Amino acid sequence: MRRYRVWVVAILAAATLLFVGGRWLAASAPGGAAIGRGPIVVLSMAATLVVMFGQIGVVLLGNFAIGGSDRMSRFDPHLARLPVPSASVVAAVTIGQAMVVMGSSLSWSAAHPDAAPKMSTAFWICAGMSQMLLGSLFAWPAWKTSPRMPLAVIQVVVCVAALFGGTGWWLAYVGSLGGGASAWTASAATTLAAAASRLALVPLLDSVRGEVVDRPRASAGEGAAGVSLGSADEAIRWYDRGRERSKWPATALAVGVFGSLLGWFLSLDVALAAKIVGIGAVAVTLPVFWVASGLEEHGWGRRSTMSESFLATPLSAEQIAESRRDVWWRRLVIAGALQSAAMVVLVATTTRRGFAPESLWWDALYGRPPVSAAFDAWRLAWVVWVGSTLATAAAGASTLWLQSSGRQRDGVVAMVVGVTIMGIGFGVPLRVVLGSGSADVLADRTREIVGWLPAAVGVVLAMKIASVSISVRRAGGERRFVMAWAVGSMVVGGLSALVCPLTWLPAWVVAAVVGILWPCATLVDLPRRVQLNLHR
Amino acid sequence: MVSDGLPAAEVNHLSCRFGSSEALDDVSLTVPAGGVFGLIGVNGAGKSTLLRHMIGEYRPRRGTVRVLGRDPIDDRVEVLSRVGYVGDRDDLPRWATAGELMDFHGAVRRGRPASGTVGWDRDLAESTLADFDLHRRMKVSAMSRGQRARLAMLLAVSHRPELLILDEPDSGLDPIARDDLLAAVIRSASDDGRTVLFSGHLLSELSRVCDRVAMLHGGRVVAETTTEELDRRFREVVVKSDAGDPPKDRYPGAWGWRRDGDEWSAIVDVEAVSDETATTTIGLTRWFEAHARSTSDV
Repeated sequence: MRRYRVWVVAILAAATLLFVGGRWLAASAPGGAAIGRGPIVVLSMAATLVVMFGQIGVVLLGNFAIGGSDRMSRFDPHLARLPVPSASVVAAVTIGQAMVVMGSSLSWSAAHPDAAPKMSTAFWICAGMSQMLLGSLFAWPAWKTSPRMPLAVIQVVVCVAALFGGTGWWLAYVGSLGGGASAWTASAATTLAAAASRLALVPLLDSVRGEVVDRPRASAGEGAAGVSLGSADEAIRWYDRGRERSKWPATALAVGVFGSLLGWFLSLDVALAAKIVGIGAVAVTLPVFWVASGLEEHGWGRRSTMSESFLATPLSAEQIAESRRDVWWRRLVIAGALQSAAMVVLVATTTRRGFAPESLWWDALYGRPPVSAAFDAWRLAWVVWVGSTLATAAAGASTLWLQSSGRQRDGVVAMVVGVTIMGIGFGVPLRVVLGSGSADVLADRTREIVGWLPAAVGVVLAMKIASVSISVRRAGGERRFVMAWAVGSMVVGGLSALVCPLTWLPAWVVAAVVGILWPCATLVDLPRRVQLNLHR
Repeated sequence: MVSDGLPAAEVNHLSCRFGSSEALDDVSLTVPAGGVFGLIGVNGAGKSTLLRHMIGEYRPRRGTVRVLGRDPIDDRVEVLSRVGYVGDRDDLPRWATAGELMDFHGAVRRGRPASGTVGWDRDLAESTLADFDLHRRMKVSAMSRGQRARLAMLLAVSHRPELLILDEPDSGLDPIARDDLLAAVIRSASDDGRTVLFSGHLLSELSRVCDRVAMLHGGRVVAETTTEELDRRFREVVVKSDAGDPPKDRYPGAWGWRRDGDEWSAIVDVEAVSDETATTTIGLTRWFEAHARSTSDV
């Protein structure tokens, strides 16, 4: 019981926070008292608790299904450690995720006061179902070793059915609200994003529990581990792949934050341009996170955070440098791909303003855009995309520069240049948006535009989460990394929920937050890194 | 084996700063070839920094480092192919299995006929694996701290290095795991002509395996002798003093000054200092143990 005490306290604290925060939100939000969101909060809180305890229960059930640690150890001695830590880890993840969804739900409620009660409840049903699915997938590797497979299969099938059933019900409900296909599309995207973010957790949990993921194939004559390493170069490539694989938790974090924020944005009824900027900000978060992750992996200057056991092998300095570069480039490519996917989603969601994908062809065929505002949105979206890509490239270039020089002064210069370019990469598109033809719309709807503020806070906090998580992971193990993630997610979700009603802040505050805090968040670790660099 | 007359490692006037703190201050040290050489000191004494210079992880800012007669930075591949290293960071990649890491080291530690290195000895690795009660399929992330330490040791010794550098490989281990590691050290040292450089903060352990010991404090080598001599010559003394500063003038060369009320304590060379007012408390062996205990309490 002692092991669970901390989690019981954490859950009760989270529930209290949700309740108090929700009541405050309901009372202080513009028109909040009239909306009557108290019941929503209570429902959401109840759903939170159900999801949390349900998640733990699923995992424990999965473990009990195969007879506890003693029997597990008969199949695989390493599974003997699984039950209690797994429940703790999943509880941590679930609390964090639930807070994010809670923030999204309350934000959505603020934007859709009429539909809020039912929508919020439906949202939570979907969230709960997807969490159940997550729990099932998490327990799956353990079930594979179980002689009682049918029980596991039945549970997974039930969870999957519940997920899709809940989703379908929700979508049908949203579709009937009168928002038409656009609202339906946004809701579908929200659901898919939420589900995707949770599915992305599977590798994380796999990693936490020490299960093998994507193990290299065995080759004839090699050892039982199945690693085919014919040469030192092959060995390094294998090592790089392993390091990359170990970054799956980081990927899950990025995708989780991304998916949740994306879903939240898509559900907001704000100006299109504001939505574009918001999603653009989220799109920037992801590559920056990856690059930050890569920076930490490579270390600053010659002082590397790579494993000493790796560095102490007789590899040449060139081989090690090549290894670092390979990993970094892979990450950049993946980040770029994810960015592009985000932009595709963005473009798809502009349908609610009358923009359709075929308008691209319209423009090509008839020489004019079908809907000017939509075309502006399309153009600006790509400006944001280019800006964020430039930002990623700049960060990467500064990294490579730093690695190649290995001197502290160059490192600081590279960092300043990189951050400056990143600021330009993001700031210019922002300015374009503010000064574009949509400006009049923005001026008229300032209160809505301030829907960006949570986005800005989210970006900043995501950066900080990444930093903290990586630092914690360096200091400890993956479980502490997950803990940092959970805490970070709570902060993001909680602040998203609390900041949303503060709609009296003018848009320039948003720009200031993005323009100042974001680089600051990037730089927050600089003193320590410079200190590390002084080791040379 | 090390060429005749060449020490296993030689450090001359090595200094290193981390920000404002002096990690190494004009350290000069010679590790003779053959046998087990110990480095002892409390946390922050500079042991790890010194050893990391020897494997080329740190580039000397001032001074020189030679390992097996070569520069570990310029001749990195040559040096590291003849050196085994276990650091104190417990940073084996968590995503790999024991077998995979063995295969990895087997691939990157192939024999180099030109330099006379034999490379990875698969039979030795497998037998050590069995001795340590490990299995190839065990994932590092699922191992206990002691199991990881054993695996790190296995990876460091299975290419039969001429110089085995162990940086507190036993920290945080239970007594049984510690004994296993020490046994491995002794086995490795028993091979003809090989050298083990072993750092730790328990003199009792080093005295079991080391022929000679260098004691570091505050980034300086304060003594280099046998473990028996070290324990005999150095003791912690306690003196009463109302002054705000330690009575350093009465105890030249004393180090590790600590204040407790109106008493000051320090480690002194009893042969160099004769002060009947001082209360002799404990020998160096017990002092290091007490220090390790207090550190772990913190």
